Amino acid sequence: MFHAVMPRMLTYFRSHGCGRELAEDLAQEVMITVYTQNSGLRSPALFRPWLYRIARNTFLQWLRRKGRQVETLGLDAAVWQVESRSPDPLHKLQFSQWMSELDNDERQIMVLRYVEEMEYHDIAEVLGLPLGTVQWKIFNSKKKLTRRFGAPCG
Amino acid sequence: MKHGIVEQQWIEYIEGALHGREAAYLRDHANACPECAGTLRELSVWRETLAEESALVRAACETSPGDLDRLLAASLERIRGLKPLAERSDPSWSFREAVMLLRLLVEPFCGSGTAAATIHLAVQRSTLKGFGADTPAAWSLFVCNLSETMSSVCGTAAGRLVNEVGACLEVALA
Repeated sequence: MFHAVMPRMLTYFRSHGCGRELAEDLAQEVMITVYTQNSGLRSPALFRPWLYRIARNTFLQWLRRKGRQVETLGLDAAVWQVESRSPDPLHKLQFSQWMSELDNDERQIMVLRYVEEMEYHDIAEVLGLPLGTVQWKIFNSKKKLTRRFGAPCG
Repeated sequence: MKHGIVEQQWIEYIEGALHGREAAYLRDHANACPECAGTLRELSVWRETLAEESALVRAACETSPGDLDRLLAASLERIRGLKPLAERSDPSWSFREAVMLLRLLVEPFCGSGTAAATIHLAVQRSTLKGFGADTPAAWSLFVCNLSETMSSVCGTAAGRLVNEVGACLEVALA
């Protein structure tokens, strides 16, 4: 299970702007939580949303811990500003620049939809949002990206 | 919402989740409305572009088998370092604790005064029969008496609730 799940967790955290070391640390926290709290899983069919809910909560807890050290910057901006100075090629991709323009909820939805290739109802389950809200935020995110970067060449 | 179409419908349309009349309505409207046609085009192009870029993200995040093994070893090390959960030596409730729990249960139904009086009477009746306060027979009798009283004071449902909870409680009895 570790070899199946760990790469997805690393991709998830790195898509959120975390550097390699931080992503590894957070991903390990997720795996330990999965190991110690698997009795909280109601059904095997719900494993994927449950896993990503743990991942999301782990990331939010890290943001709160980091927030105590960040006085003037917004938490999300702090993550992207620190990590964008790294030589990590991931941060040079357009995707990273696009995600830096979105708020936390929008970014989470876009990462889950496009990077993790999750269905809308699973995303709604992970984030505890109505399905319609998830779809509306996707719509809004794309509008925001168009206003900021212009429509991409299709 | 614009032109009678909510944003979610556009998302569902480009995902191929709409069918029949609803899909036809959006398609016909996009053919007739330049603004919505532009929105549809924009959403579709972003959908393709994000999918392509996401593939690059996944490729950039690939982890080697060696790194995975290293992370597995590190995770196992952390798990071994976890303190074991404290084990309860005795999971059962004492007689007094169990009575207190039932009191907390019935108070919302009849108020604290009536609850106290009812429980006191039920305890007395169970011990008056000659049993010790901490025998299974005394506990059963206590629950039965309390259940009957709650039925007459607050209705059958309250009495049944006391009976069910009393039967479920793990009470340390002689």
